[in-house]
Amino acid sequence: MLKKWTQIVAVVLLVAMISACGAGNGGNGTGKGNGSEGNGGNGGTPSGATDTLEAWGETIKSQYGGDTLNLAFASHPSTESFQKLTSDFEKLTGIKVKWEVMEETYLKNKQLLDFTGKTGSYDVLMVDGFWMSEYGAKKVTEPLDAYLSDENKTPAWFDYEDIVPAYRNGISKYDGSVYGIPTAGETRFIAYRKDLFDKYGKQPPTTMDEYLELAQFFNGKEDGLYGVSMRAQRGVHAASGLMTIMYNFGGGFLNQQTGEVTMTDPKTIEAFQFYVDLLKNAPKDVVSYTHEEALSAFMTGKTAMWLDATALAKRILDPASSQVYDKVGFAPTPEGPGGKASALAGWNMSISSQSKKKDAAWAFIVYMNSKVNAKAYVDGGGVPVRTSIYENEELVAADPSYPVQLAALNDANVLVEKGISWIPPHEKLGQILDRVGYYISAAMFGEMTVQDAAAKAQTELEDITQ
Amino acid sequence: MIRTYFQKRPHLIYIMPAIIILGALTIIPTIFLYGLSVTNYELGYPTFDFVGLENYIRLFTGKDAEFWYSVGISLGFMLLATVIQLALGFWLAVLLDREFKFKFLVFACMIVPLAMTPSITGQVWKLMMNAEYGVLNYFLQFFGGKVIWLSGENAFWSTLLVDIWQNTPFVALIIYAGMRSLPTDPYEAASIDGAGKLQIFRNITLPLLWPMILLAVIFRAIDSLKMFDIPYSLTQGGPGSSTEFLSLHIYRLGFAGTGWIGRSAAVSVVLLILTTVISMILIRLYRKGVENKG
Amino acid sequence: MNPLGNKKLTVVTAVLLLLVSVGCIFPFIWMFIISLKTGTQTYDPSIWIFSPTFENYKNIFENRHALDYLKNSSIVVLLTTFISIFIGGLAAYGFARFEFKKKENRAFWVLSLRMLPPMASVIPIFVMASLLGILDTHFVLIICYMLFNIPFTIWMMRSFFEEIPVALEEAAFVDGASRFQVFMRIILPLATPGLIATSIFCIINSWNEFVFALFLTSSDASTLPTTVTLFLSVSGVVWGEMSAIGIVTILPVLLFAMIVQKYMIRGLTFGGVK
Repeated sequence: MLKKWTQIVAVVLLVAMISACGAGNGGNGTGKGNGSEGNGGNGGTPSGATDTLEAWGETIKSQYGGDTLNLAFASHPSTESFQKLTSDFEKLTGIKVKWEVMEETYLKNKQLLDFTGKTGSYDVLMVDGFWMSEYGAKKVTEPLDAYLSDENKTPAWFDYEDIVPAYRNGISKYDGSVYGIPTAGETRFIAYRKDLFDKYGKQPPTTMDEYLELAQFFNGKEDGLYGVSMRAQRGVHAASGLMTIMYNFGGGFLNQQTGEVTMTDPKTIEAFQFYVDLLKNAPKDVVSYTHEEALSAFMTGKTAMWLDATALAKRILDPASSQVYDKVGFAPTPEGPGGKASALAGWNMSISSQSKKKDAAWAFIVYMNSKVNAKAYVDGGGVPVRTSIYENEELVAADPSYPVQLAALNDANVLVEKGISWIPPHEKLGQILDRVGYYISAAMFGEMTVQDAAAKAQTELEDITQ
Repeated sequence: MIRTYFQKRPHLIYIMPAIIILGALTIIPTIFLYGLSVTNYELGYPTFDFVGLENYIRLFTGKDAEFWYSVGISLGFMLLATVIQLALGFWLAVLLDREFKFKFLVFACMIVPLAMTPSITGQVWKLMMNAEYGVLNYFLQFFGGKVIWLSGENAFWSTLLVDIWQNTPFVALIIYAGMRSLPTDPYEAASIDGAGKLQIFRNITLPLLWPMILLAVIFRAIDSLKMFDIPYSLTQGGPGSSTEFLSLHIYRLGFAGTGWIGRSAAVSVVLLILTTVISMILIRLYRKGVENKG
Repeated sequence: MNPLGNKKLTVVTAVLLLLVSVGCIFPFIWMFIISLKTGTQTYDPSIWIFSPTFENYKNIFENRHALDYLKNSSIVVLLTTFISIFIGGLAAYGFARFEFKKKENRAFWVLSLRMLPPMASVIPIFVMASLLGILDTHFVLIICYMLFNIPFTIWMMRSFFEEIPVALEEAAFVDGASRFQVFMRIILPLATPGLIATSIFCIINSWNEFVFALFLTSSDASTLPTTVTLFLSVSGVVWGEMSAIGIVTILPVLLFAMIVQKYMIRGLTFGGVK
């Protein structure tokens, strides 16, 4: 048993060392690529022309054709769109792709368990922006700067700069390095029932006070109608629900400059109180709502307003899933006492640090996220992250929520300019969100007052971040 | 030498294969678990420290605000679920214990809850229990009622309801089986003595059924103590901590994106000890019942 | 002959039984209805009459590879049940027929293995499996499911074996048969109903197991219950397809249970034959 252990540890170390050296080579060797280097299938710089998609495909095929990539992805409309593009990728490059798709919490557990077990079974990971700091700190994913700066690995037609800057800076970096390529971005905005607002002569909310007033106004106004729906289930859903509005009050879980916990900061408490008060105007079981129930409640016409992810707008506007698809308007997250702000979250593609086929994995990422394929990706149901897509007239005409999404993205940029990252950049964020999410749920359910909940959360968070 | 060893202990040939497989599969994980519970290991980090009993102290001194509450509702749930399922199961078995035409159909229906995949069924129940567009409230509305199934006050009871739905048939089947196998002689003797119905039930039926009842209780008590799927799909332990059962607490500490494997292991050890003690008592009773019967 | 019985089916009992049956089966029916509904209809429980769509079923077979999962599930469950019943049956016989030191302690220890919550044991088992290089194989699940199937078999079968009169065996011994021969030729056939009853529960438990299947397998050996995570999407739950796969998952088990129902009831009422 012990012998086996030592053997395996030795092998793992060896592989890790080899791949580390390989990656180093790739990064330094910005040279013109002398094909002989690629014989290990690992760390070699691709040689040959890469300036067009077809030429790139040929080059990749000659180097990594026949490799098999294992992917661990989340159940997400973008994943489904990538799956549709897979057969073209396989034809072009000769690289085989094996998908494994699952719900996000399980995905994270599985990625981390795989990392801990040093099995190296995954090559490309889909990583939530919320996990980026943790993954960076634990070195689960590979830093990508070297890949991005190497023009042989990253051809011009990939066009990294075209990805919305807020996403590039907000959800895919840790400690200044790039760890992922944004594939699906979201901010949050309000959807409201135009027909109801017209009927009662109301305007969509522009400030938080108006938002609360409108929620109270519509709550119970008609039979079975509630004011608003948001996600609020115990745990990460409640925490993320609070984050949707918290920055507009100037609050935060942490002071991002000093790292101090600021749960008992009056601004955070004000936001916390607002969130609890607001959801008194939601369906009575809102305490068990995830994004799914919040969305369904709005789509079945039970609530007058909804504040959640832009990525879900597609479902609201789809007659096949929504009963209110033709009666909906959109508005950015209302301005609060702390000014404008809007959520900035999303998903990335990253390379597993234990992958033995990092370059083939990178080729996959390049192909799937390139500007060339962006249109096909969005047509397949993918969630856009590129400026060129947001400005594509044809697409804008098809989806009336695009302009508001862009406006919301501008609001999100307000935060970036303030030097605040919407997702608190802390490697223990998962723990922070879970604990805060518990105290929010407790306050909402009435187990304790908002003040008590905030104070207790403060103590626990200090314990986590110390 | 080996031959004589086995000849002296003939039972070993029969039980050894099972013992070896189970041992290999459980001893290592259990030791591992105890080991983890005295470390501060977090999922994904390369190093960890031994922290002695700190994880346990954290639990018992109330620094983990939910632990004692969790123990409380887990035990409460176990008690309620077992008692209710036993009562309902017994009643159902009595109902079934007669000859009628479509009995096989009733059995077929009773197998359905047992056979449904909990991970998917939990989600379907959540949809059915939605206060606004769930089918349960749709039916209730004909009687002018509306229940907020998953609110803070009701979530615990809704979880209990689903558990009762899922497991009562199991209890009923076992007790029904017991009833069908009752010997006839004591009853004939009793009817000659002119004993009343209640007397017969208390003095003959119950003692004879005792082993079957206890077997059902053992399985139900252990399984309901570590029940996970249903509260996980319905509420994730919320609202507040109203459905944060111990098994869910283990999940939450270790696997809800949190990664406190050390602390989670400590709760697992507590749960393990709890189930062991409870089932030890139940199994003593069971063996006694069997011996009395024989 | 049934001592409690000679009872007739009164109207009240019939109605009660009907209600119980409907209550038991309703979530299944509801799942079936949802699997035939389109997205919008899912959220409206008042729609009972609609033209069913089979899109969901088409999708799970064409896009979600339901057949692969079905194949994996079948392989794992059949093998694990067969092995568990055999090994567990042997052990149960050992516990039923022999007297030895600390017997009850060992029997209890066996049962106590059921008590390890799967969430707690999945990490060590994952590490062990990855060291042995058997992650993502049918083999690892077959082994893991024996962990709860064998104890269950031992405890169920033990009481069945204890009910079989020892005299039957002794007669065979007189004829010169060895104990193992007796076990295979006399005891097992006599206990068949009990074996079937036990195996149904083993099959159901392994068929529906989720945590081990999710963490120990990925693309090559995933079983049906893990598919639920496909449908809990970031953009909401795909109810139709999830229900369709729920129906596909439950049908084989249900059919099997129906077919052997007679044996199952007889198995559970095994003591009645004496």
